[in-house]
Amino acid sequence: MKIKDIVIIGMLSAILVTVQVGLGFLPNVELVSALIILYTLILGRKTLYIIYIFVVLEGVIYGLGLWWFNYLYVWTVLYLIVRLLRKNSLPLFWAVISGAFGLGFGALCSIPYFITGGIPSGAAYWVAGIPFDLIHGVSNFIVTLLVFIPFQYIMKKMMSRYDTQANRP
Amino acid sequence: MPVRSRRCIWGVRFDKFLVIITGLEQINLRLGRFEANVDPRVRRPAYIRYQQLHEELDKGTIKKVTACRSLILLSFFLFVGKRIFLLQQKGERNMKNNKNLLKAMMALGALLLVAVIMLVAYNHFKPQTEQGSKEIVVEVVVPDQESKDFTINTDAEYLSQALEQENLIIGQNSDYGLFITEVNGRAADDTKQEWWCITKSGETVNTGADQTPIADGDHFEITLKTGY
Repeated sequence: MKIKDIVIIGMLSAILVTVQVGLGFLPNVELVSALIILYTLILGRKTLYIIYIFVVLEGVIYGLGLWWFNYLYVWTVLYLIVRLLRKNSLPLFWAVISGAFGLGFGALCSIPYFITGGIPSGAAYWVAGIPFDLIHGVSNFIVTLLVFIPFQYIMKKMMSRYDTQANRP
Repeated sequence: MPVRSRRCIWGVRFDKFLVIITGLEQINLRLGRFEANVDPRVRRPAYIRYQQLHEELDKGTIKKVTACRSLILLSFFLFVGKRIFLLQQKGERNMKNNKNLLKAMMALGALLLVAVIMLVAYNHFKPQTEQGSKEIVVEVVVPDQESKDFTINTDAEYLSQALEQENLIIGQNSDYGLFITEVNGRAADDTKQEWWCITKSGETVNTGADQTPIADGDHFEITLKTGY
């Protein structure tokens, strides 16, 4: 890994954490999903570093809880989905994926409860969170639709500059 | 081969025209660089005509001016061919975009369907409330202190209403629901990461106090916990 990669990963992780903390006061409105989708589309595998730096920092900021173990895999699930569907470029398509991730967030987070407390406990946890999942899905859809094109433009521009500098003799 | 000229328009080398028009040099037409993105239906006949002109000029059967005129006509055809080709490519791109858009719209439809199913599931499975009077016991547990039991008689449907009726709790209404800050005069200290955890007969309650329904004979515990 080159020093430039380390810097880029560090910066993008910092943006992710800042955005999460900054929008923390709005329940279920977040930019993290949209940003992870974009990072994965543009950076590919390096996004995994960003995701786990983000997860560790979240743990440091808010303290470790059961939610933190969810974070260990939910974002990676999103990463894998994006990697699978990376041929698509339409913002609407990614907005739908982001919305679907928002809807499924509660279901993904209830997995530990299914394991620790059995099916009734997990199902109760999931059902209790459905209103939040619905808000999360709608907000993710709208947010991604709004930010996808401008953010992609900025990131591509930055990355192309980085590439040309890297190839300079 | 001649050095590639920068003055190359529509696939025909323009500097050669100048040679023809001025007639200063012996005419030496060579095959120009026909650009790849010209419709093959135009490119092929144009290429043949180009060769013909070259041969005829070699033999001296046509005048330089006639050859020049033919070449200008030829370049015009090449220009049109290139435009057609580009338009076709654009059309193909549009068609691909439309296909992607259709796919995205279908995905959006599926998403809405899932959302509706989730809404129905929520309404079906959400905790049901009970009407009428009930008697519940609330146990307040603070570490290193003896726990206190409170028996509440109420008509309230949700736990928070019953607790507020007895002035047992103080809370803030947040976007996430009621957030209990103080129970029986004991406030949870944010800076020490203290919070109030509600359990029902020892089991975790997944709903907030304002969404937890109560039934006659229920036993709730409110415990002061440290660390999120």
